Amino acid sequence: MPVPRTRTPPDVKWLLTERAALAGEHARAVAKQLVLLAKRERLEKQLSKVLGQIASTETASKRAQASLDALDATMGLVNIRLEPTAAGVVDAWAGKYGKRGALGAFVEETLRQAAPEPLTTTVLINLASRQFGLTFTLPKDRRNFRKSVSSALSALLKRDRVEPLHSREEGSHGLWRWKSQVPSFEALRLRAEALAARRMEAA
Amino acid sequence: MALTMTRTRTQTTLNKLAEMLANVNGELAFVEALLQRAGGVAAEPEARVRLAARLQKLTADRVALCATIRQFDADIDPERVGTLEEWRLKFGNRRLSVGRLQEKYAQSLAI
Repeated sequence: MPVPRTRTPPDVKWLLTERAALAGEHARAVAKQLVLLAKRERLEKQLSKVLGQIASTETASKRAQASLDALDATMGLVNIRLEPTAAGVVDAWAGKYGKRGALGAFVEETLRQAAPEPLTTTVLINLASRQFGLTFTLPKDRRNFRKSVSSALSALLKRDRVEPLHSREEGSHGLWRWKSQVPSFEALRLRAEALAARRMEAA
Repeated sequence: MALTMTRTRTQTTLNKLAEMLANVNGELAFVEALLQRAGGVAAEPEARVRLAARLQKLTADRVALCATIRQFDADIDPERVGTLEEWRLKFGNRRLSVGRLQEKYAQSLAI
């Protein structure tokens, strides 16, 4: 039995479609608002962190200034003609990673424990920053720390303790593996052959 | 432990700082004692003012030297540094009587 066709009155049709459109607009606005609220929360956390860091740099600056004043006064006692700023300003090693050599030792130990699995430079940076409680406020800070980790890896490479599994020339992401000091089976076989040959010659 | 250039320099610096602090401590004790006495060279109001100013200067020097030593090595406690009387030498030999030393000291402050 065919369903009788009904005609929707234009006013009802308009009301329904208009409402549907408005409901869509409302849903989009609510969704966007949720995203923006989440963003605000994230930015507020970041702001709070940055404000904390500003406060700690202010404290560090005041402490350093007090020490500078003390050293200047001491210099005046040592020799009145001594110019305190004669040595200029240097970015000296400041014990950021514990005692001297601590970062290198950490990188070495981490790679040794991970062996035979390799580790990427990025993983090493993350592990080291967690180990030494470092936070990088600015991208420059992270870049500087990357340089420190890279130089620790280069030092290990010079000492033949690690091997790069990436192409160093092409500048690809670093992948490093602890170099086992135990000789491989191939090396042992070659050594045994050389020994046998020497014995044969001697006989 | 071998005395490398760095180690020699470090040791010399620490010796010098400790010696300076000990002399400041010695002079500070001397001035404090002078100010506590009602008579003698501290009897004149002008002399007392000069001695008080010198006391203030010595206290500031002491604070600066203590901070410098802590900066040098945070494990060293500068409060444990005692007193030296080498500062007296600029007023004459060691056998100078206390009264004469006080006079000379007060005169040096008046200049």
